[in-house]
Amino acid sequence: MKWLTKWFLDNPVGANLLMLAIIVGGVLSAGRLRVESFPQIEPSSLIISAAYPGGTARQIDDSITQRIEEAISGLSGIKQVTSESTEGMATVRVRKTSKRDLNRLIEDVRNRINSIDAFPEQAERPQVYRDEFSNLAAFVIVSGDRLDSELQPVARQVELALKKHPEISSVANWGANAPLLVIEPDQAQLRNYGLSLAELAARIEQMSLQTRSGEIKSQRGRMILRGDGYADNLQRLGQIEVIASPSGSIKLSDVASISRQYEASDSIVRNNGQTAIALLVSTSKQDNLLDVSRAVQEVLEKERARLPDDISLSVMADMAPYIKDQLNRLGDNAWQGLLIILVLLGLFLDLKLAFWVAVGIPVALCGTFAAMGVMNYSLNDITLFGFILVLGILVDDAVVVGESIHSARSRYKKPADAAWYGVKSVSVATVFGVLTTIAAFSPMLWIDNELAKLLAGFSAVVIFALLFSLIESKFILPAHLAAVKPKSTKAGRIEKVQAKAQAGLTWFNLSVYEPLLRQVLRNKGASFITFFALVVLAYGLWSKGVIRSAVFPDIPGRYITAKVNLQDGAPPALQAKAAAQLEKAALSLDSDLKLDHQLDENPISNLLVWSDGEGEIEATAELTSEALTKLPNNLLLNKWKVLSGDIEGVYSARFSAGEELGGGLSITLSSDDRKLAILAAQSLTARIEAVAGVNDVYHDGQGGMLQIRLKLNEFGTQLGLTQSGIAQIAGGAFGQREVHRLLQRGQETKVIIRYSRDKKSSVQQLLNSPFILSSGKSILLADVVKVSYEQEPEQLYRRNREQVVNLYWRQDRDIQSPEMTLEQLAHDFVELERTYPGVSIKAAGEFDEIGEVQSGFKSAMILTLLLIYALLAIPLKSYWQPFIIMSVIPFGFAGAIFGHGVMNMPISILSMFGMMAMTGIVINDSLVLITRFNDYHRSGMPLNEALIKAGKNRLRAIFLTTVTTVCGLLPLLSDSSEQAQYLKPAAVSLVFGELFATSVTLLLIPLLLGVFCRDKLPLEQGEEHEKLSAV
Amino acid sequence: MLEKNNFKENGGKKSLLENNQGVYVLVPEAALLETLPVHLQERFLKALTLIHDSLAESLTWEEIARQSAISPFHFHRQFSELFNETPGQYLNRVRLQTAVSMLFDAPGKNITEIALEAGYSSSQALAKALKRELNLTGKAIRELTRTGTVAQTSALIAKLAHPAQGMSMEQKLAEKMPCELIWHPRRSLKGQIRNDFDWELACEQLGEQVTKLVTITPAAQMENQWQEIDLIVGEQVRQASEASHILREGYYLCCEVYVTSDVGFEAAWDGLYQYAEKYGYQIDLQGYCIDIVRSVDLTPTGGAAYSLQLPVCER
Repeated sequence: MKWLTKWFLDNPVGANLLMLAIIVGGVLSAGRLRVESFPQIEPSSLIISAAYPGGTARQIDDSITQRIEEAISGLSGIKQVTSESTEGMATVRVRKTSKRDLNRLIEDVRNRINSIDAFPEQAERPQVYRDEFSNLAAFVIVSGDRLDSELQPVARQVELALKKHPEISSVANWGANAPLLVIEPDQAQLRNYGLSLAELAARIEQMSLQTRSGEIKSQRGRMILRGDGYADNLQRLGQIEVIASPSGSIKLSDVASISRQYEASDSIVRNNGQTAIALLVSTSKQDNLLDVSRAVQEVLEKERARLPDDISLSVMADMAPYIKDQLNRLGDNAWQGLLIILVLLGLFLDLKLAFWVAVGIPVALCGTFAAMGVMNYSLNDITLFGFILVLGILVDDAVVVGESIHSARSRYKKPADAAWYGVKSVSVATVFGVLTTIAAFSPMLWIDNELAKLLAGFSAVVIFALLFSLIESKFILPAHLAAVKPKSTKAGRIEKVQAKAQAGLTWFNLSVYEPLLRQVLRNKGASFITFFALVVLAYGLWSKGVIRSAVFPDIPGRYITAKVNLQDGAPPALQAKAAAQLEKAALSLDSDLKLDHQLDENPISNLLVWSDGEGEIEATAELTSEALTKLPNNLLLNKWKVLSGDIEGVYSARFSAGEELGGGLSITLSSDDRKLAILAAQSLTARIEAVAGVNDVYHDGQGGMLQIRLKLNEFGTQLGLTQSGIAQIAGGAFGQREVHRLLQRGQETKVIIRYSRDKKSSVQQLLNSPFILSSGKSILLADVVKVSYEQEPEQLYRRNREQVVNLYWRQDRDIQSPEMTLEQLAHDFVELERTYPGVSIKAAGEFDEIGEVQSGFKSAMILTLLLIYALLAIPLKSYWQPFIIMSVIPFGFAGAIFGHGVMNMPISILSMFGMMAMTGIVINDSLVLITRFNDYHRSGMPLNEALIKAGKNRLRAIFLTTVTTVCGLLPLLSDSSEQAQYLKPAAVSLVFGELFATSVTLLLIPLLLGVFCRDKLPLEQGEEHEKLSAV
Repeated sequence: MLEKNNFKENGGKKSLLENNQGVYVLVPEAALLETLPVHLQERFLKALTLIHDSLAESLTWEEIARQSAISPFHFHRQFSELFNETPGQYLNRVRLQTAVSMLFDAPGKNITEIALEAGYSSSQALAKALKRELNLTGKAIRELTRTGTVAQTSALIAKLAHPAQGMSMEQKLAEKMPCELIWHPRRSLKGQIRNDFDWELACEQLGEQVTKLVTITPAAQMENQWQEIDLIVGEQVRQASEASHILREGYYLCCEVYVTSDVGFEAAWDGLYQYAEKYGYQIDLQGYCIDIVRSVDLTPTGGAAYSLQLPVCER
């Protein structure tokens, strides 16, 4: 290493070329870097879904969900299995353990599932796929004041056009309903002709089919022979002969009406008060967000020209402006930081020196870009944060090296010699300083945890930047400084200012720092206790909740959502009403707030209301940036809630701003007896509602919807009927019977038979429906069945194979953290478990994440500290000195905690990551100090003398590195934008931790060294030396 | 001054050829010019612009060559090579095209006016030319717009197409025209039957606004005599309640095409019909044939971009 520095010193051209190469590499790579909203992470769970059209939740739970869970139960590498059985659908989500390879797990799961042979006959084959995280680029919304069925084909066309564009790789249609060819037989006609539904279906299947072709090999050549063919449009279906006899034939169109319809017609998607369909455009691993966004605009431009005026195509949640904004912000923060750093360096160092030190920043940034390009990292929220954070740290090495060379100049005449010895004297401190910082940032690269994986890019950027800054300060900077001629003695204006700054620093050094340090060294015990007390105070404030903490902080988001669940079995009309109510409230709020707060534009830029047709309604409002900055937190949310008023038939209503991690706050109550679990959930609901800051509590153990059971009665049995005939009417005519599926324009189209909607809208119609006997005669269904009623749950949930009821709530984190709420409930859990035997209560959702993140964080912290210890012990050649250096770490934490108090922010996981990074930075200063002390002390200087001299000597370098780090982050700290909210906690940790720890370093480290230094000289002798040196 | 003006025009036309992305340019001159190197393109563009701009001035082709600063000999040779006809023939054809178009589309103008505007010295000169080339009188041509059929008029117009080997240049271009099957949602139109609709007048009065106009014709009437075909001109409206005609939702064979003459326009429609036939689309006789003006170039040489939509049955 040293020879390389020397070589570059002797060959400045080489150094310049190296710099040029880095810059060129960086510039080239920067243009090609992918831009995306969020880094892509490998999925860690898989989903098994199986459709069973017409199956009830309980049927599906019994016959599908439990079978799947049973089948995969023995597989290794499964961390958690959760499942949901709803009407017609089973969904099982399997989370893998961190070490298991997802693809192999999928394969294993698929094999196990394929070997299940007892699925119900009409259930579709289960699908196994990875739960891929799709990166939203934008929503394209097709809306208009029209029927959904009119918009469907338009949306399909736009979807195809989007998919056709080479820049767009993934488009999902959120409002799409599968097309159907529906045959709705007329009951009277069926009765006339003595046709049962099953016969009708069988007839259609016989007349419209596809099978293999044959071949005729004739003299003239080969010919293909086909006897099949689908009746694939309305006309052809209508022409199918249902009954053919010598006296004439009856066509399908005579006994049934045939039409094109769409599935699930009760579902609602509305945008800004109009019927809508949303298309989700997402970016894949190769896409550049900005390109995708442009492509979307291009396609829409073209499609718009084709559409009538009343159908509009708009874009919601376009991530491109957001990322552009973020990029600009980075740019602003970067140059502001750079400017501050330049001014500081210029004040305290020689101007030319300052310039060459500052050159290190662009070089390191370019190097980082180049490395990102090579390692395939993208520009996104997280990596941008890395850039902002690293700015202040980047010049640290250069400052130390530059400062060292600066002071070496007074000893060596030749600039080259000064450069060489300047670099040499601090080489250990700088190299290991960088290595320890890298060590502190590295855990995120290898911790196996979702959040850490997300933050990996951030660490990578910091590490790349630090490596390049090290290269710069070691190889390039000395060569530049060696060429700088000694300062001219001419005193210009700048020099005067510089002289003043120098004088100020010297004054501080001599008349504040030195006496203080002497004081501290004289009263070791008292000083030590003072320092210790400060740390205790900080941790005390934190643990007692004076300084708030919340693992996941509440970050005001651009999207406010209202989720409403209606009671099971609520009529569709209520659903439309609820949707309209939410919509109306939001729209009127929109105009009111604009007036009240004198905004330039409407605060809600887009409103999307969605409902699944089964009682779940979700409304999402997108806020403008203006509204986000000007309106108080949660104002819109609370007003929306009030304005929406009471919703008829509501079971639960939740209003939330911002993302919910891990599915929100939830508690699961598991029990074999669902009723017991529901009872427990009900009483827990009552208790949790009394806790401070708790809102919108509800549990998913709803009573369920009414179920009618038809059972063959005695008369029916006497007629020779079977239960299956009844089941066919119930499941076929009143459900739907699939005849076959066609592929039309790339979309699967089902041909189904069912009664028309108005023929199945009352129980009376059911009982009056004809039952065709084998003789062709018909009787009423009511004559052959017994009717009984029961309750059937609409959804059933399982967690790790146990039946569970989940309880959810929203926590106002300004009042109390969710962890605290949980703590307060612990007693209730025990009590409830005692009251309802067999019920066990566990925290889930976000709490799962918290547990995982915290345990990951702990192990990462321990490993980091060990690594730092090792990295310090080696250069210091000592086992105990690293402890002294690392003793500043708790002070850093204390400073960070105070900082959160000062800024009135909760300490969150984001702050923790900031603190972890800080450990790497704060010890740099002590390392610089201690190496200098060792030099002095080992060369025979008495202890106290060495301590004070080292402190005085390094004050300037320590001051500069600290001030540059802090100032580099200042623009970010004062930023109030939405994006900055994610970054602020870490920035606060860094700035305050660094500030506090540095002041501690300058006093505590000498103190500790004084206490623990083994070969210490007698105190009197030390004082004598002081006197001598003073003389 | 003239030079400068022309230059600007050239620029305008050139950019049109290049920038109208997604719109197919069905203009024989443009297609032929494309094969030339750029410097020659500019020279011919200048000449063509001159021909079209100053039709009424009755310039001869020699004068045009001179004004374009090309020797008549070279001009004649290169022109004939490129366009498959001599400059004189071209000039005559363009004049006749203009005259016939006006006979069809401008019922308000008398024959003398038309003759002078098209660059004929008198109505007799026009009558002679019509007799010679089309074997019809002006009156008979006008009569065709009432008693003739679409097939008859388009056959007449096709006689004035740009000559090429086999079929006309327009037909060749129409064959290559990209057509797309597009699903259009239900649209509402507010308009009225305007068989005597004067496009030239509309362009003059409405200017750029003309792009809002939609013309529809019942597909079932396309075989009828012109006077029994309803040409409905109107605008799209948002509310179905305001509409006079509802365009049903369904599939349409569509093309976006830029044309500069009636010949091109007719060729484009023919192309659409032929495409339907070639790929087995059945024309929905309950639907309307629709043309929408997308953009107009109001200069004398300029044409217009249309969106043509032919209703077809679901397959």
